Amino acid sequence: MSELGNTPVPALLELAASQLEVAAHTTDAQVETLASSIAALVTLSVELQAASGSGTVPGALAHKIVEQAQTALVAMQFHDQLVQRVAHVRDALTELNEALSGGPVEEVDWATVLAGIRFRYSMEDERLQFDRIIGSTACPDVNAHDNTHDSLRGSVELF
Amino acid sequence: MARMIMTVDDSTSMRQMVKATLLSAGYDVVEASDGQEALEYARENPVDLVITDVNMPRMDGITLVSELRLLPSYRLTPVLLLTTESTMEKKMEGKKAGATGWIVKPFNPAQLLATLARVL
Repeated sequence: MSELGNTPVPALLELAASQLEVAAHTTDAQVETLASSIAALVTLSVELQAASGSGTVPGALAHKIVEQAQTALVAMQFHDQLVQRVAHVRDALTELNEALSGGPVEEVDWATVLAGIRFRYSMEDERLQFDRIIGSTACPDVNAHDNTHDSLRGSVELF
Repeated sequence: MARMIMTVDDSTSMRQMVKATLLSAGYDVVEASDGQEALEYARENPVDLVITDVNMPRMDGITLVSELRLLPSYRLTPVLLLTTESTMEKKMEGKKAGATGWIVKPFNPAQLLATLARVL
């Protein structure tokens, strides 16, 4: 049994992971409603722009509405990213909990544990944050990987 | 006749965002909530292009690409991965599976439509 096995640390890690899970999904219904409204707004704005040719709607106004609708559509995607980020933190806590519960804490192979946790952070800025806080020498094997080609948000690459 | 695009994502809101973008440009859209559902649809129906998320329950997007490439009618169909994943190793997995391209969320509607126009 780990030294931590007699402490509340494993249970606290499990609790934190569980709370994150709940936090990520309590807004699902509202976000779906909001997304549906924005989707409808995009469709309506495109119809409005098409109607502007008839002279009943000023073209410049229709164009501005389309632009705003598309801006809202991009912003609306925050929830999907939030859910992904929370899932990564939850998985990292679970991995840490398993490592601490598996045996004496002094026998934990930290390089392997950290490499596993870093692998779960699959967004570029998550890994940069990991490296900044945990340190670049924490898991030398994965840091040998060339991160300079990781993609930026919104980027498109055709193979 | 409008081109048919399949959007695959376990997030309802993301599917709505992609669908609204595609409908506004005159495409027809069919939705699937994971790779398994998309594959079952693809076995019975042709589509002109697939846009899929990577992390999904039951079947992930990269496995979906591999499975689609085994279907004769989908051997050359453009498949774009639309995902929050941005690391090189994941992107290489997608390329190896046979994906046509990789788009990192959040997507810009105009950019997505321009990409579709390039690969269709």
